[in-house]
Amino acid sequence: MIIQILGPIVGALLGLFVLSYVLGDNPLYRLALHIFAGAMIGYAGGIVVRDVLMGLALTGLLSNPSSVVIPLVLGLLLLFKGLPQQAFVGNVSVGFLIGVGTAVAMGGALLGTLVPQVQATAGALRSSSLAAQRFGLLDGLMVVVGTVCTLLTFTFTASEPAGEGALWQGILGGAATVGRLILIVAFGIAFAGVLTAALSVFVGQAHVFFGLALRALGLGL
Amino acid sequence: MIHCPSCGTSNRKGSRFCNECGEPLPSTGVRCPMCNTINAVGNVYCQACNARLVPMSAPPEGEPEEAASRPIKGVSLPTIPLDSGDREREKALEEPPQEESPHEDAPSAPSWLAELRESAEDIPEETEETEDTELTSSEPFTTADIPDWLSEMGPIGEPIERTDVPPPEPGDLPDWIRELGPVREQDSVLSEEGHSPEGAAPEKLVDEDFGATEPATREAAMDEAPDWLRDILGPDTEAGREQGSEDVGGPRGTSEDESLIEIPEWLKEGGEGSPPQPPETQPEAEPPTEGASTDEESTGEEPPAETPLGAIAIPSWLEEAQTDAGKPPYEEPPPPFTETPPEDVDTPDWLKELMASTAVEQEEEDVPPFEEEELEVPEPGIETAIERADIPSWLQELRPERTGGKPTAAGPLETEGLLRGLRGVIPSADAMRAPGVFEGVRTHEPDEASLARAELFQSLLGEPALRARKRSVGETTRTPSLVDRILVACILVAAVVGMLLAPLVVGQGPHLTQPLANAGATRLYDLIQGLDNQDSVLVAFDYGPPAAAELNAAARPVMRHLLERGVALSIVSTRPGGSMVADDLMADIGAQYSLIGYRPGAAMAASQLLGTTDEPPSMLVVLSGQPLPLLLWVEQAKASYGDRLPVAAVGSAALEPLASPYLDAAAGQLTGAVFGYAGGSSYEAIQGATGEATRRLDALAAGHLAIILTMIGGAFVYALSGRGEETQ
Repeated sequence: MIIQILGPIVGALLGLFVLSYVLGDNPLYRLALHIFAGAMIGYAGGIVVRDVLMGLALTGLLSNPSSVVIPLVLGLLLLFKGLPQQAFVGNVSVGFLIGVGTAVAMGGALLGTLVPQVQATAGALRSSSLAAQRFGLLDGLMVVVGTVCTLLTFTFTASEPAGEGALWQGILGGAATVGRLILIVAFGIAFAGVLTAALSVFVGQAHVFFGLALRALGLGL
Repeated sequence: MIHCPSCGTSNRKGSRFCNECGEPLPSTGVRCPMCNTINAVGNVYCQACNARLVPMSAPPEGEPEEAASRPIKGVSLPTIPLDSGDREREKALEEPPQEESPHEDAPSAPSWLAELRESAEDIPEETEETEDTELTSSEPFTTADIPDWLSEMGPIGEPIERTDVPPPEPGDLPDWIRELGPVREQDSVLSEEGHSPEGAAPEKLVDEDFGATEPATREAAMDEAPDWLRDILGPDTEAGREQGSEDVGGPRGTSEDESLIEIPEWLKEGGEGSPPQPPETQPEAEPPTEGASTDEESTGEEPPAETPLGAIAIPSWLEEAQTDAGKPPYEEPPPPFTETPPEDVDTPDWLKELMASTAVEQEEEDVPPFEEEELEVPEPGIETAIERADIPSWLQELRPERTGGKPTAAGPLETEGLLRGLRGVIPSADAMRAPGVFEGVRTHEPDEASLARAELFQSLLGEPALRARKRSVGETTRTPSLVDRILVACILVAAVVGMLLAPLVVGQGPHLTQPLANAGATRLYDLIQGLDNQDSVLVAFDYGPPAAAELNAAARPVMRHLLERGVALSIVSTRPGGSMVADDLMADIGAQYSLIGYRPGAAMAASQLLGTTDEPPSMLVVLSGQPLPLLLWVEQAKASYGDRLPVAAVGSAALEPLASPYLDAAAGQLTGAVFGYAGGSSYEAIQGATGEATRRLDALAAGHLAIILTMIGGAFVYALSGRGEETQ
């Protein structure tokens, strides 16, 4: 009960401490920051112990030891990274992690991102795709032109002063310019999304804080 | 010779005890004057540096005779009490030998004795010096004790003119004499005179004549011989005599001349400098009266009234011994001594160069006089065979100068080694002192392209700073002031809080925003709507508490919908904080779920989790506030199951622009998605409910409006303040 009462109060105070940064860097802001960071790290450590060591390693060791021997050995070797003189012992584990991680990430990027995106761009002007779009052909053209121009933006070649090459360079320059505009819009939207996310967090925290306050006053929000 | 450390008496080489005081004598050695190496007594040259250990006895020209004629220490003789006759004889010996007149007192002396007298006249000062300073033995030391070869080493600097002897023919002289040239002319003359070389007379006396004499004659001769001579000849004569004489000393080898009269090794070397005499030219010399008179006239001294030699009675054995003096005592002529070191024989190359350089330097500045205290004191027990005065002039010039650090010659001062104390011996390399000037040679001229580039670079360097924007006075690139920040914050807080508290004031009035069902939310709703309680849904909570306020509002309607459909929920997270958020959210909606928990490894965890079973779950819902977790789940799901696993995303507003390409229908990577309050409110709108996302969406819209108004108002105020014109 006490936790249910003090928890929201402490959370509200820490939120105000964070918002005090509007006045500049101050000890309250630092205090809240350290509390959040420490609590998060401590909680993460507890989660690792509960879910990984107890949930995976120990359970696997008891039930099927052969399945966790190699991971345990690699994990123990990784602990040597904390010792400067014996850090090389952990290179095996690091190499294993990097190798497997890179392979998994590369496979996922090819099959999950690059190929589907290329296929979607290539079929953006198909009738079926256009029918699914809100603005039809405009959306399809935007996808194709935007993708091509954005890629041409990163074309860095020497310009020729005259001739056929100059015409081709002019086309590339125009496409790159369009691609730069698209990038500007995309980055603007991304920044707006970040701003909206931050403002959403603020709104959410304010909603929680004032909801508790009004609830304490017997009012419902 | 070994000098007794106690009484200073000179003892014969090899003696263990002093003949005078009986003190044990230390081991002997000769210290090299150049490198201080201890050499054996008999060594003529140093075994380390080849420097000559024995001096050249000839004094340099221009120096006084005193410097050249150093005293010769007396020979160690047994100490015997002097009788009256001996005292008189000793007294007579104390007279200067220059005053002797051998021609008057020895009319019946044999020829060899006359030669001895003649030679003795050449070294009067040596005898005097010896008696005055060095003769410490109780036995009187007479001029007759000086061998003729030693007498010849007298005032070498003074030429001896022998008018009665014709000059030697060039063909008669040995090669080494001819090579010496005019320097050795005097010696050559002496050699032609038939002077006995070193030790000739004693050797003959001991080896041949004396030994060949009949016993009776020898006994008589021994009786007539002085005591000191009997001591020397004792061992040989003792065998022939039946009774041993008490005066005779210990056994001594008398077959060698060096045992007859102890001659120092260095003195022997010096004696070798005397001119050799061919055996066939050894004459029976007559007393050189004319030559002697010439010497007397040259010195201007009166002949002595009493001659010490005349007081010595010549024994009969000695007279007999001189009759057989016709055999040359040696066969090979010793090298002559010279005032300058023999260049071809003795002097090493380095010493020659040193002499040459020192001679040049000597012309420029004077060498400080020789100082006794500068010489190193020999260690006890090591005999210094070289007397200081015996150092020839050429060696004196080479002596290291100690002038208290005052440079006496050009060049660096050698501080160690054999050349210690010398200056300018090793010439410095001129290259080290040459100025370090490097004259580069340009073999080609730069081409036009290089010159053009250089000119372009120079022009760029010469241009002023690039179009720097002129700043007005007082203008600074300052950050927003505290008032500005507080003002903006107050506006934002007022807008958001006012919109949140508006229902308390005005009730459920019109909203700023109207929730719309977007395509992503609609497809997600349709997907979830197609599930039933037989399906399993894997939910990945990959966001933490910081993003929970936003994502919980967006995820809550979706999770409720899943709960309504009765699907089996399995919750997993690749972030440690995801489990906590999942617990809170699922507890809030009261859903039953299966918590897989945290799986480390990001993409590997997702791949491992999705690849455990061949049959994929009915749906994968990814809740993330960052693009990376969403991408890894989408990619691994596509890589593992392809299109068989529909993937839905619930993310923050910041994730929407990045995830939109995946949401494209043609790509098919995301079946449906809900982003932020807008997506949540859209999903709520599809569900026909007004939830938390819709309520917060108004506050969010108010905040956006406040930000826009603030930006417009700020620009307006900025324009009105006139700062814009100043910055143009």
